[in-house]
Amino acid sequence: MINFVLVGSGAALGACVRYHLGELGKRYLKVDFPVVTLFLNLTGSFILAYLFGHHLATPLYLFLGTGILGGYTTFSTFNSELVLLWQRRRYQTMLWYCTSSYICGLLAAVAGLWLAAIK
Amino acid sequence: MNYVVVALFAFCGGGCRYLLSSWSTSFPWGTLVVNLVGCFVLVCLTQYLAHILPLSERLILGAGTGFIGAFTTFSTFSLETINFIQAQHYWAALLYVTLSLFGGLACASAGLLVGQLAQGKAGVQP
Repeated sequence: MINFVLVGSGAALGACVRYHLGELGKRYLKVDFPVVTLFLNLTGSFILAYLFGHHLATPLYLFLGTGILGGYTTFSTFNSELVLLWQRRRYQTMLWYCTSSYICGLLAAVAGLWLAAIK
Repeated sequence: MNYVVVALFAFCGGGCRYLLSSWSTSFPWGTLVVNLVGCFVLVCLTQYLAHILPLSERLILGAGTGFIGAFTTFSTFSLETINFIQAQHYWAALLYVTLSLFGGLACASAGLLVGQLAQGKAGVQP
């Protein structure tokens, strides 16, 4: 039960940051590419791997990692943006978005683990 | 006010993800199922249900950005994949990425399709 609350409160914080950045992006970024979600997912992957590399105590990891970073990054918005790009026949953008998210997401996680390992 | 709504829904979404993903064993089925279900529900909700059901914009924001956004996760997916690679479980890593990639697209497309059917039945023009 306490773990549920730890993860939930972290996720609430992470989701608020995600929502805030999304609103800022809508207001200031006039590009036809979902840069905000890409940014969130890459930075989130990097930080989560960095935290994981530090072997934190379980409650702290649940709050910061599973909670905040889990709520901060999103897989559903990413895929929904992909199919909407497909629907609008923006095939090239879709392909770029998909490839860059997966490849850079994994590279970001590698970088996070590496940074945690070098102290 | 929008922040409070997003936070409340995200609290439940993140908590539900935790409950489901703790059921992962050697393969992260929990994260995978959470992510795929989230893709389907989000597309269905934001693209169609929002237009045919009398739901307030704030409720859609809470349920979509808050609950489903926090329910699904990309960071855990990346980390789990890298952990597979580090443990030299290359096939598991490949399977996980493939299932997430194609499963995510398939579930989101299914959400679009189901939404379109529901909209057709409700007789609402997009």
